[in-house]
Amino acid sequence: MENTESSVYSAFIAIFRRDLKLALRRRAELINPLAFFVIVVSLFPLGLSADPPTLLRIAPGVLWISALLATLLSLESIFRSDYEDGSLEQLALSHHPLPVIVMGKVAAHWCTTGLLLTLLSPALGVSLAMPMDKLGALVLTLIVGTPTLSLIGSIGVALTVGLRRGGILLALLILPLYIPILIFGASAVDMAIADLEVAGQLYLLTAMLVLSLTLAPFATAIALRVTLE
Amino acid sequence: MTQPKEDNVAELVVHNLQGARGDRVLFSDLSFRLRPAEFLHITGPNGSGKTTLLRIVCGLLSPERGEIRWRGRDIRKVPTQYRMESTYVGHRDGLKAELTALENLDIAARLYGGGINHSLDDCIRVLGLRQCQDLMVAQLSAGQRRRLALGRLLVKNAILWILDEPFTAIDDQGRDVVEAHLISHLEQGGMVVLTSHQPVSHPRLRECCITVSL
Repeated sequence: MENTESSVYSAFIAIFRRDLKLALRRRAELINPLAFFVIVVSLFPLGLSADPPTLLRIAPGVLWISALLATLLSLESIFRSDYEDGSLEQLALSHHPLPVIVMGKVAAHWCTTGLLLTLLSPALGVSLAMPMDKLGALVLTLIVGTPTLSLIGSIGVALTVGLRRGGILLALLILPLYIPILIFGASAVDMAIADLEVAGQLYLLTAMLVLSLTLAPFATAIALRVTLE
Repeated sequence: MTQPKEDNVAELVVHNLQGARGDRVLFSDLSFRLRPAEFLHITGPNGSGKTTLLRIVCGLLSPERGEIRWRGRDIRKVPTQYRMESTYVGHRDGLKAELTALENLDIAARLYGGGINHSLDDCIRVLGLRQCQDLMVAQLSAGQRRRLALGRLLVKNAILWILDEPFTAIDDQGRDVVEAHLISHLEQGGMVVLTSHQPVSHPRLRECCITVSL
């Protein structure tokens, strides 16, 4: 049992790299949430009005809600295929701590969804008439907020992955928990547009990230063991 | 370090076990003991609870009643040690369809391997999958996947092998390979618990076989 620390670290890296490789080989699953994000955001100018002041007023909320729904859409991929092909029970029987494996999987999920959504967001911000110098605030809130979405989402997926039609239940379970992140994320962008200080909101978003980073992997691991019973 | 000496002897004890699926009790008061170089063959008709028993023994399911002891201690108290010293191959292969055979084995060695006792190349050769090592698992046949799933046994140095229907979809030559591995594992002091519909054919395996019928 020597080198426990380095073996835990290497387990994290191994599962992280495995999931990244799998995500890159499943192109459609990788692109779907991004396409969804782009399409939902571009529906608003069509449905409401193409008038720039109106768009600018709704831009923070629209971008955040769309990012949140795109993440929700992609959550199942964290555990679904592993559950179906039996890999999940093997991971649960591995001698490495399950929360570490969960963390590796969630990190890979964030890199293939939240991170890409964040990188895509400036272009969509511009399409909603956001001024160039405010895009930084948008990117910053998303980069702090989306990992929290993946982490909290992993608890919900772990609970519902054993159910045949768990999709709706997952949304009902997880969306209420996303509300605080939505409130602070969207309001930070709002305040940035109004030239106000956004540090307060960013600190709160970061606090939520740290809290979910420390607690969510353990909750997810327990939920997975229950699901596998 | 004042543990009694018996703790260090690898021994699996199943005591008064009761297993259920939903409300239906599948078996109760099941007890057995498995020592090094012993082989336990669980038989029984479909639906008699063989898979449930194996899932309880490997620690995925908790028993309704009774306990399982590994080296004298309840497996729920020493989960890490028990997981390190046992390998479970269930009826689902646990392979990723989008990875190649070699990549699957590599990830298994990294995640489950306590110590790699063969190189991956050797493992692939022993499994008879040399020609398809770079094919995606999605392209392999059911029998080839089964062989690859059993490859997990080779990359992990576990004492206790828990196998659910290992011979399903495997051809005669594959069966010989698997049986040869079971024998060499037992000769090195390993333990095997397996379910299978077919009776054990190899005389050497029959010698050390205990059969439990559900």
